Amino acid sequence: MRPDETGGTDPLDRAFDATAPVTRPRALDIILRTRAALGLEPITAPALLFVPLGMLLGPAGLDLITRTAIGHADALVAIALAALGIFVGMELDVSGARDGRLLAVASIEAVTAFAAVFGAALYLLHAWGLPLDLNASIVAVMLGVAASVSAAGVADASSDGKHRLATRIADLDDGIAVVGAAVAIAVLRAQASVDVAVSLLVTIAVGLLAGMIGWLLFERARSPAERAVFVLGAIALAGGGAVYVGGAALLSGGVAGLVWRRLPGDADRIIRDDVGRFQHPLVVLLLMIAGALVELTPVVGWLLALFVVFRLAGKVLGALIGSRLAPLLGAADLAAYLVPPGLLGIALAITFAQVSPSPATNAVASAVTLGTLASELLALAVLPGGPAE
Amino acid sequence: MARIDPRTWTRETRLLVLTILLSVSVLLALARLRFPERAPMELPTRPFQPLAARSVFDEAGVAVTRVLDRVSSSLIVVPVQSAQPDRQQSYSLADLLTRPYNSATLTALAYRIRPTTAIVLSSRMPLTDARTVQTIVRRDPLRGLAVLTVPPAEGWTPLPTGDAADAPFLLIAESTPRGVSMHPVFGATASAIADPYWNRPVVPLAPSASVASGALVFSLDGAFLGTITSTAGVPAVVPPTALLQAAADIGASAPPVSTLGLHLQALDAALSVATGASTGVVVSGVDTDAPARMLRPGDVIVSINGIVVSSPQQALAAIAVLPPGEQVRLSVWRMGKELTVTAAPQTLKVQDLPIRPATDPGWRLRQSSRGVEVTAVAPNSAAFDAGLRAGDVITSLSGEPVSRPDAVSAAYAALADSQGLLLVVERGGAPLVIALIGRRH
Repeated sequence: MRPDETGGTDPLDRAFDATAPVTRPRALDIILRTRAALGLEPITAPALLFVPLGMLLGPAGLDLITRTAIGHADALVAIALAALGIFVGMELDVSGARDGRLLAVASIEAVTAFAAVFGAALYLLHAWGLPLDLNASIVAVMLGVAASVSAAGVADASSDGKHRLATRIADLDDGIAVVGAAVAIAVLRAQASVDVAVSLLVTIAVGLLAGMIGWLLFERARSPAERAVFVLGAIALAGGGAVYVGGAALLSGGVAGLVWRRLPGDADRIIRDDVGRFQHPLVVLLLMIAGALVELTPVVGWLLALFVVFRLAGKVLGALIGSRLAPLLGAADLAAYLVPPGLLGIALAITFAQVSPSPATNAVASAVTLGTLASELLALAVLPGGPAE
Repeated sequence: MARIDPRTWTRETRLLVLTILLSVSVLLALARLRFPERAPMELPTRPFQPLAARSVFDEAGVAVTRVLDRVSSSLIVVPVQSAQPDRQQSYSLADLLTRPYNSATLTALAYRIRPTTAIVLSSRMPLTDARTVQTIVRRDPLRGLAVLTVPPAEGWTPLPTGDAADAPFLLIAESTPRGVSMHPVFGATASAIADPYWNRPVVPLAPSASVASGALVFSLDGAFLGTITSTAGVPAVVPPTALLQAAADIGASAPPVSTLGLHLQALDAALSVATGASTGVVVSGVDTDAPARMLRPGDVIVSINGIVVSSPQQALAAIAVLPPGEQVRLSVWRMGKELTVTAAPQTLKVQDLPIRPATDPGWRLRQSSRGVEVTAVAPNSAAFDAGLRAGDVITSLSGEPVSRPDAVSAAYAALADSQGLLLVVERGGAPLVIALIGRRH
């Protein structure tokens, strides 16, 4: 779990006391010791576990998660995306010169990664002649947006300064990606340029509405149970409303999160506490659905190679350029922290497939999901040494 | 002009330049690749498919859509001749309310084997179609297989072929008045069996499978598995190799038709008791100069070259496709004993076929109180194709009342080729207008 991205330590973490020494089976202990000796963190990104599990159980595998079941889970996926957007929105609160500089670094590295993948995709899709049923530039935008997000691993009070800075930069670049994804989705669904603006405005309005309703209700709840109902209702309104108007649930959730963060009161604290109650199931749901949606086709293989190679190049370039603005963090360190796309990359992939289902968007979603797995594996190797046992 | 000296660059700058150079190199290298025109497997691969048998049918709808899209350039709907056109039925409102609507299938589905060549398996003669500009090259009336020239289709590539016996589910493509329809059925129920019409074994399907003869068969991954035929009353899949071989044979020259000079009839229960044979076909007559003149009426042919025969049509077809002059082994049941005889079939000569004079439309007429009554109509004659049937009464000829048979026959004899003669006939008490087209070849 990544507290900075998905709402902090949740009840499960508390229940199992994540900081306490864990009694592990001997075999697992040997593996972790080996990993520690290699300088790797003794953690496994949840995507590495649940996405392959979703692939195994999904239509391409055992078909226990059928296409019909995935269709029925659309509403839950929308709520999960909105919840994720809320945390992205709350992290977007920028105050002070330091945060401003970090936002600039995040913007630079995100835009660089976007440009690298977008440009390469636009060039290669034409050169390769991939049989896609979508305009190549739309496919390139979707890949670019998904490539621009980063997750810098777990950072908490015990983490070192570099790690905390990297995590903050990774959190800030999420906001840019969410806005980019919302624009891409609006373009994907729009018939005219006016529709793009209208779609974005309506999605933002849905987020504002959910934010205002939550802000008015959360602190007036007479019991924790009633408050949880209000929280769930507000998230469902943000997610469901956005899907209903054909927009991105991530954007409406992001706007609601920003509202709760900026307006006076304890709405942001409440949402962090209460969403923690169902944070794990939602994350698992998103990852399993993403895995189940993966299709193994030649087109996906070609897109995957493009995505992984040029996202890595873009992140390295972005870190090299951006580190000049954040001297505390070396370029190589920042680049290493920005390698894994994390949960948001997968969420963006699901959003594309959910909003405009077609062979091309499914191929993009599959490539991004598999690319996220590949990047997470790469991150295990390149991330600076993990916490001492 | 200032010189660029990499040694003066900082570590970050060197890394930046190196990353850019590396990225551009990779980009240019990747751009040299081309996506294959037709990927070897366009459908999603299923690494765990052996563990998930039930998923295949759950997603049959998805497979049908994708396979139909993939094979569409290989499918051509062709019109075929209607032996008994629906239009030759006089309707009143009462008829419309009481008779079920019968939409006769007037199309068949052809399969493109080369850019401008297609084959179609149909018991009815394909027609030249002005819309698709297809023409019939040649047709084998025995099997019903015709080779057509068709206009080229953009982006067509030959489909992979497969064996229907290996597929748990089959996708059946049929022609409908609105285009091509595809539906899944369960695969083979038994191992391949010999069929007298084809030189390779055919794969039988369940008798209850709702498939029509001539329908095309594909696998769930879009491979062509063959065409549906009917063997011993059971639908079966003729493999692509047999179809292509037969198409090559009839494309090269008109196939010879072999005969042993036998007349055969089905073995019914009474004949079975009388002859003591439990299976086979009964010899009802032998031509004087027949290659199988050692046989005599009452013999029962049990098998031909080891293939058991169960109907006269099947037995005659099995002999017809044999090369003339090649010895054929017949297992014969005669008076409670089994004999094996050999004979060399000869080519059926055109003069052996009953040929009607060009002035005879193939009818028998007699005078009746209401006009001229048709007492018999020969199959495949001009009168039959026009829709005339025994029992019809011709009441009017080109608008004039008619009562003498010789007047009707003379009117037909005076027709030029492809010229029409309008007859008003009475059938079942209702009037019906029939166009009799002159046939002079």
